[in-house]
Amino acid sequence: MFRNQYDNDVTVWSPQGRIHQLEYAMEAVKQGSATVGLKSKTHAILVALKRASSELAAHQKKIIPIDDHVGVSIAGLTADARLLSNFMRSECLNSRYAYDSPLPVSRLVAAVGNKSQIPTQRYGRRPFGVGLLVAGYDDQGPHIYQTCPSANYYDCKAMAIGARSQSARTYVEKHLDKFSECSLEELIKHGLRALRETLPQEVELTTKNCSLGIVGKETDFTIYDDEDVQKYLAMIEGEERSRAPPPSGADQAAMDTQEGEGQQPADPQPADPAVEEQGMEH
Amino acid sequence: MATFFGEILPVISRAVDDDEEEESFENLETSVKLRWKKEIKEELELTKDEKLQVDAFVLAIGPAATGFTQTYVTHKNYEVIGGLFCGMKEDDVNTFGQTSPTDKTCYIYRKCDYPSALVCECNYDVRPEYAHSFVNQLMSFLNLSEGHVVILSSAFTSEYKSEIPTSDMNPPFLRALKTTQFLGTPLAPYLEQPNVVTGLGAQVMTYCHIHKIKALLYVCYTDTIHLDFATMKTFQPLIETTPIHLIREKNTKASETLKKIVDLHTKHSTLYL
Repeated sequence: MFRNQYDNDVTVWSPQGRIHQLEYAMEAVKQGSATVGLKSKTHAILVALKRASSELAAHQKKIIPIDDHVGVSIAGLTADARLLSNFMRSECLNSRYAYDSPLPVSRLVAAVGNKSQIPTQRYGRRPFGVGLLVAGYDDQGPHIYQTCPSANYYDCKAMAIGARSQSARTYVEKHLDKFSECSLEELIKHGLRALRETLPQEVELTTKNCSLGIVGKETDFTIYDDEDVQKYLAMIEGEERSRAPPPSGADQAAMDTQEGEGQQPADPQPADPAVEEQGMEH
Repeated sequence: MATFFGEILPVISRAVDDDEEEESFENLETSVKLRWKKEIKEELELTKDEKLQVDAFVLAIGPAATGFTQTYVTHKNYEVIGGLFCGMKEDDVNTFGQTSPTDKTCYIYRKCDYPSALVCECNYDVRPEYAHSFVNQLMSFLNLSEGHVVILSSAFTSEYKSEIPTSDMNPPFLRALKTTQFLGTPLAPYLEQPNVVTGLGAQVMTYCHIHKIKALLYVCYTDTIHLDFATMKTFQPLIETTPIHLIREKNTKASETLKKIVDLHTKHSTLYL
């Protein structure tokens, strides 16, 4: 990504046909902490990683309830997330009032997409800097949708967004065919394991850094926080974690005092496993 | 000045007196203050050239690099011997008392059992216009003719220019630069063209290159604006390299220290959730 003369405004195309401001807005989602969404035949769940928060203020919510049958988890600008979730709540409310039935999740997400598109095409406005994972249950069954600052939305079998979410996506891709037949418990275990993949080896999932949201046929959207998550965390406690990816970009060649020129510039290479600290606590 | 839309903008005058220019120039030079502890000042007076003999000098710039050195190098057996204070006036009072990892300080540490090993942890942003004065003041007290200098810094992947698309790179990753005096191979690939290192790190490397000092610079490219484990741990392979392996202190509580540093830095930033 370069800085260039076509990236000052969302209304400016680059000669390559790109709108750089949209691409930059997508980067904002990666600044939020990771969150994962999975669904089986009967339930849709969201698990989210919470950042450490100040003792002085109340916890900022990462998973937000929208209606009895829908909830979202956010990654990116908190204020934009608040705006979009308020919009979603009012859409759901209006539908219940007008039609006396829950708003189908696909329609809700389409409304979010249409609303998000407007500021991507208007001078003086900016795209929303937040990605949402929407978990819902309606007549068509459980759903997981992903929305983007680009105003695209995707119907997903499973998805992870946020910082270091690639590892979670890799886990989820590997186990994709198991989810459909999973029990709720198994599904939650998969979700927590996927989330754990985004953490460094030294950090574990705890009741302080983890949030869970569940929705299903007989289950209204419910959020589990703090102590309520403990029983689900206990299910994956003690399981061996997969090896964390080593830090990339360093050669294993140790420093020796040779004469002569240094090595030629090389492409980024994955490094060999990092030096383990003796006696380091895990 | 009124614009087309009717807003009033402040106008900056380009009329400059010669005298004014010189004055502001002087201000920059003197607004970086290097303060030594009393004992060090006495030590310096005893040496014939008023310089400290330094075999190993590590300069950590920014929260990721200083987090790494605080965890793996200076967490014990090191004492504060001085500090660099930027943007202060001659009669401002400075102390060595601010020791939280999030404090915007720049202290110089010396290893208690190895006095020619110095580590400077710079936790504030040294603007390019202060970098020259910063480096000159610091280096004028150090005799680095036989020593090794290592500079640790970080930058964003959004500034990293490469043919490889960002999605295929695996941040965080390290890149290195060295002076010709340094006879050895850095642990990371050299920083590829057309990327450049700017600011304080570049200023120190330039100084070392001109004065024929052995120096290495490592820059860690990261994609997160928040300090995290992965970014600080990217520096970890450097622990076993010259000169850091001579001056490091093993830390059995490394994970906890790192966690504390990450928490301190992220606790109050709720802009991105």
